[in-house]
Amino acid sequence: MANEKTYWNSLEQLNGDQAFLETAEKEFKDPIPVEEFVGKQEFDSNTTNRRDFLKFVGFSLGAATLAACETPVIKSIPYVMKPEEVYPGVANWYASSYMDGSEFASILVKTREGRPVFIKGNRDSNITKGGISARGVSSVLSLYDQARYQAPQKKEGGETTWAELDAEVMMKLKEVAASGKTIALATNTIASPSTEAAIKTFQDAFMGERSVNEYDENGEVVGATTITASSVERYTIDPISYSGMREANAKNFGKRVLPNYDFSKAKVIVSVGADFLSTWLNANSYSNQYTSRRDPDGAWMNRHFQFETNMSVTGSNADVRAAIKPSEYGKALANLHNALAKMAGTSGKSFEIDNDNNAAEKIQQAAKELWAAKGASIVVCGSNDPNHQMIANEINNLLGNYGSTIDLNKSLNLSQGNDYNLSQLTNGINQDRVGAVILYGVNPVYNAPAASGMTEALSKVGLKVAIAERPDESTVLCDYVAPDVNFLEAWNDYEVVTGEYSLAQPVIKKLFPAGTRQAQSTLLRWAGAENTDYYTFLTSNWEKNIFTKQSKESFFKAFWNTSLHNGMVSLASSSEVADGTTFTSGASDALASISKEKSDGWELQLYTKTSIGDGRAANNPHLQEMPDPISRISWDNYITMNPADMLDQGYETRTAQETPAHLAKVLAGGQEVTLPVVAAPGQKRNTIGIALGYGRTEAGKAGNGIGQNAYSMSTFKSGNVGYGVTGVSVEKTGETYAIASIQTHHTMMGRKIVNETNVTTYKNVDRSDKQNGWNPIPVLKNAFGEETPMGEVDLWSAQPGIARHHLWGMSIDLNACTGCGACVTSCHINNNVPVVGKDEIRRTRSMFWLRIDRYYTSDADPNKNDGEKNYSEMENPSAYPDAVFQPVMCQHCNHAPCETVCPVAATTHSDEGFNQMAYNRCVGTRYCANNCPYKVRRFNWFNYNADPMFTDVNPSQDDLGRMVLNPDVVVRSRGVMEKCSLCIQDVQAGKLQAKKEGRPVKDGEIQTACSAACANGAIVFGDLNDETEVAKRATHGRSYALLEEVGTRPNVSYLTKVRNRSGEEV
Amino acid sequence: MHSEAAIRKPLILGDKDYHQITEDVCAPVEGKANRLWYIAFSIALIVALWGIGCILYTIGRGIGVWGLNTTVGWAWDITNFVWWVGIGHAGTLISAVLLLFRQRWRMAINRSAEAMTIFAVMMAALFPGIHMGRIWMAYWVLPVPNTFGSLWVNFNSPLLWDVFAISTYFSVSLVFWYIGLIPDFATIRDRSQKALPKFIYSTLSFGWTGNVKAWIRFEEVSLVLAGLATPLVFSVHSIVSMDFATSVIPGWHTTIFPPYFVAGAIFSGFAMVQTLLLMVRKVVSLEAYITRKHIEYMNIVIVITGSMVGIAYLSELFISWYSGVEYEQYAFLNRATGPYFWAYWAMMTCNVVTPQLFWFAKIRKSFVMSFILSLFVNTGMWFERFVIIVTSLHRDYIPANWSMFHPTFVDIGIFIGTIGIFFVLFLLYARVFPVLALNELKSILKISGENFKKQQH
Repeated sequence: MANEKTYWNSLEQLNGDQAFLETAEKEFKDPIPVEEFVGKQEFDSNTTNRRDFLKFVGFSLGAATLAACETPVIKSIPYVMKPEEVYPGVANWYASSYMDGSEFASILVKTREGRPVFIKGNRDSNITKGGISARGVSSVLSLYDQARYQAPQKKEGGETTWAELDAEVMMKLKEVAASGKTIALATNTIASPSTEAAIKTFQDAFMGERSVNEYDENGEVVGATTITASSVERYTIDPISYSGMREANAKNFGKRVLPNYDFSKAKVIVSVGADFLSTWLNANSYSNQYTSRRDPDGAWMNRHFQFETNMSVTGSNADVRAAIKPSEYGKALANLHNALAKMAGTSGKSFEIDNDNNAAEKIQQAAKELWAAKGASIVVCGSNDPNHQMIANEINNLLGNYGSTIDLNKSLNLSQGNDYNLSQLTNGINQDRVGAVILYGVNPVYNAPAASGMTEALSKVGLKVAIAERPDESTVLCDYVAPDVNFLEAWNDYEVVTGEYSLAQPVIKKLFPAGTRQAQSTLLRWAGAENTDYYTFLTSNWEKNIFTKQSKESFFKAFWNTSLHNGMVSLASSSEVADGTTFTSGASDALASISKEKSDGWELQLYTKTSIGDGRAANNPHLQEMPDPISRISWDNYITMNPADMLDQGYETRTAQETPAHLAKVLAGGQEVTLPVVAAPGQKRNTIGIALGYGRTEAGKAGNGIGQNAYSMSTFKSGNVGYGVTGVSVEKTGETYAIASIQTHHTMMGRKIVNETNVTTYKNVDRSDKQNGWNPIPVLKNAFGEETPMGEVDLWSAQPGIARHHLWGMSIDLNACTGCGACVTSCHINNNVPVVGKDEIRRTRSMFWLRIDRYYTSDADPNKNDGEKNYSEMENPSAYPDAVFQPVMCQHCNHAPCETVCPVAATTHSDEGFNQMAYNRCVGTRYCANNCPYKVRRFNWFNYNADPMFTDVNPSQDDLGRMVLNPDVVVRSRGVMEKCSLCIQDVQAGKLQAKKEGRPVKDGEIQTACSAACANGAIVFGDLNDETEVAKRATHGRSYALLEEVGTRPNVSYLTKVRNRSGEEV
Repeated sequence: MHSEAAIRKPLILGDKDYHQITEDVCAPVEGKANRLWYIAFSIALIVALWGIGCILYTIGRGIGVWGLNTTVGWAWDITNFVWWVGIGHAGTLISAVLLLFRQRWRMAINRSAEAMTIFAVMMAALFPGIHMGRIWMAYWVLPVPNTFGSLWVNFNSPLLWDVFAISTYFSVSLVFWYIGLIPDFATIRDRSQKALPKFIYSTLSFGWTGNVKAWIRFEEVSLVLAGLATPLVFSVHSIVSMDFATSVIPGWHTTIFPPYFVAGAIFSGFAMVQTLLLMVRKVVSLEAYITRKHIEYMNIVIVITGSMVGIAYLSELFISWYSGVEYEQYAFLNRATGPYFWAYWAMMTCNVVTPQLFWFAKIRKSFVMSFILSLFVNTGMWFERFVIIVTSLHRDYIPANWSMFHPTFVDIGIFIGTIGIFFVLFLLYARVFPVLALNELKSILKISGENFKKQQH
């Protein structure tokens, strides 16, 4: 206690004076004059204490922090001057034309807020009647391709200006013309009267006298003459040549034309290697003409024989198919001709052909039937050898088909290319007569046969100019590139069939207004024309040359507006009677040539796929992703080989995710490529097939380095390019290569998936016949043997409202489906389905909402072997099987297995029969997909719109490509399930339209993307509760539901495939 | 009153007295871990971290990093889920069902079996979460009030039943386990010298006093919880099986699934208990408590449930043939002879053939053989789920969709990773929890201990 002394400062402290104690506690002795700053009253009434202060600080800090985390502001700019006709949220449709140089389609373009987002065929077209290929449908994506030229290019110095480019090119062209050399203008097929007129203007600008050397056969100069002609010489070169066919017609009819076929009039069709339902000539027209005669209930059904090397889309639709070697095309035709000649009473020459799948008998059969259908048949040949084509002409003439099914007066203006132009051009360059080359729409460096020497020749030319929309293997070698616009940004006209004029109109302002200029304007500019505006040029050309051909409209403006609105005008006169009278036979020469054709070792047939075509659209990821209808492989080309041959040679026949294909080195035509070998049942033994259009090196990030270029292997003999090559060596390298196939199992395993029968059974047997019923209704038997149709067996009560209002449904006619795949890409585009690329496809993770399954028949089919089932044998397709196609999308089951299992009710049933998917609600358990018997549900495995793995392939990852996205359909995030919605956005739009007009929805008014793309009528959409086409079909005897026995009650049904067979064929 | 014949082998060997039991059980908690523990823990931790890395990668990138595809939408994820749930069955069965049946031998093993259950169910619960495409929306599967309008969960969905079944099972198992732990925690608390452990264990023991009243209540609660837990043993796996049984996929759509899955779960649970206990009794020196007798009893359960599973397999085959359904017949033929035949025969061998060796007493009583065969069963049961899930999906109705499943390193990483996490938890448990129900054990020392029996005779 002693140390606890207290010291004090003052007596007041010691005494504990109250006043002292009060002041001692304060820090400042004098009071702080707070009241001077804040009024006394306010200070008193303020109840804020320390704790409240801290609360306010905390709140302010928190609020300020939250305010800083603002969501990104996306500025949308409203129309200051709203264009007339454009309403946000309302689509505008424009009639136009699609022509990529090799195929044509009349189209309708859907634009939303001024940007084209969807293309479908124009059903009102006289030519294509709505027919469109996958390439046509996907072409809208090519518009938004970042790889397109965006400014004029100069070899030295890169980008340049139009003024500089025009000045330099014009000066140099004049120099060339002045030097007496020619300017070679190489184009592909143009088929556009006004473009031809523009070219003519260009040619005329270089008119003048020049000295021309004369050459002997060996190319030695023997003299010179002076002529008055344009320095500009036209060369028409097509990547896929039909030059031989034109040459044959020139010989037989004196006209270098292609005839106009009408397959809808042909009762018997024989095709030798012509894939006329997919890529051959004007397939967009032929396809719906053909399928219009495939209805087994129609007046008659056509009968189709196909003789070919590779299994093609056309071949898989045939009633009778025989595989033959490329070297036997001529012989098969000759034998057919011979058989027919015998019937006609004359004799001909016959040849032996390899008969391992009864080709000889099938030819005899074809001859018999052709003879019976004289004047109503067609024989077509896919070979580019004029001798083959002459025999085909000979047969058609013998059968009297000219004037009935084949029209020579109304010619087809596609594929005008002349293969002699190839050698003429290379010779001209090599002989130093050509001073400049202008490449317009051609890419000879990539697609000319190696044997033509085009690539080496081009490198010698002093001035190379390209007019091109996008870079390719040839434009990158050019001194100048004048960028062209996309066809959706351009005016143009086409006369694809004589007298049928089509128009193309811009549906969007030029995406690169400063950098691109329409090719025709460029040519007019270089011609020094006063008016270089192509629209003015086009209209004045129409006023002068086309308006005058008709008398219906008296004013040009009215004529023009109607034609533009319709996208076409038909001025064909039907008075001209077709003639076969002027036929000059060339059979003896042709047969002599054919007799020299020999089979030699392995043979190679080059072909084009419906997706990639000739390869010019290789940078379009939708087309790369689209699986080939037959092989079901995407993102590659490959060697197709018969599995029987593959087993002999030790190749892997059953490629799958982790079972890569074996690589083989193919040596053909002096050229070598190494490609994977894949099994192609139906391929002729000892032959292989390779698709053209691959191996691009300058196409763009999506198209470069995919597959190998096989153009170089095409043969180049007697002036024509040949796509069948003999004496090929195929050597296994021992290495393997991963293949991305969307389907790895190829047979139906004896199940009723694609229901198929022949016409005899169809006509004579009841569908539910106990023994031979061709479309039995699944029944449930109870213990007493009583049978209840599956349709009446029910675990659940019916969906509420199922019988009220609409019940949307779809019917798919397997007879009308050729498997072309236009619906697949159409669906892809309309529903913003992500592109996932090769590796994901290989992992069975394609995102297609609509797929077309392809099945081969197997020798072990239980229908063939008294119902005995040998499953492991059934897994192997026959060496020469039939193939069938089946489009499968969400079946919109009324008792959907997916709906019951979703824990969060993200997939539900609508009152109108839709099985709906609420993406926002989906948590991604994938249970619905597992429980779907059809496996049509697609899971977003990654964030396809941002994940770097998909940058090269997914167009929605760049600002330009994103413009193709359909604004009506949400882009799905990762981790959610998606699937076919039956284009519910279009259904809603159609219903709204009808409601606004105060009327019920009309049948056919609402189209899904797939049904819109299918001009064959295979896919029909409509209201099952109404008197509609789809309702009629759903109750037809051919109708069946896929996996009906599972009891899912789908709203999608299929019509049994009926082949035109008697059931007793060899 | 319970009494035992003198010739019956005692349940606790080694002349233990009450104190010795306390010492034995508390030793790992109070002492320092041995080297073996550290090695095991390090390995488990590394594997666990690898697994966690794979899980985070999946969540960051998308389910696409797994080997799943459009046809096979579930594979290792749900296989692992069902496997872990199955393993999580034995604990509750041992503690609840055997309690009701008064099988006192369970007392030596129930604590660890229950711990295993808890950890296994935790591992199982991980998979339905991470297999979701959008795990951040996982709470949507719970019927919680929400701002989405009247949006509710889909009570038709077996996955939702799963959520309820698993969460109920987990909660009840956890409570049951914890109640049992309270007196033992109190024992450790009372023995603790240091402040921190004392604080922790006194918190954990909820102020247990150990008076008679408390013990009476303890017994009553145990009985009530056992009664509650028993139906859960059967319900959980029945409901898990309904994920498959209520679907339309051939090979899944099978009415036999609920009993078959429950038998399989008990089978695999006991096998896992066997595997763990055979290790634990060595590592933590509990040979006196976990005796040959326990191992033998569990082997008997294994051979019985294994035979039930075998019968189920054969019934499935018979029914698929008898059904006359094309798809059903093919599904089972494909299992046995298709591309995944190896998985099927691995399952058949490990689950049906090898457990039959337990009919031989010598094998049944052998520690080494029991350990090896328990590993076989663990493997076989994993394959069983793989066979059910993958081979049914990969070739279902439409042949054009048929495909194969190929796991990626992430699939494998996550599976191995969960084994790592499981062992990390189990090893930590073995260090800080009383691994035997020491207070309960003392109750059988009186009647079934060696000393007691000697005194009696």
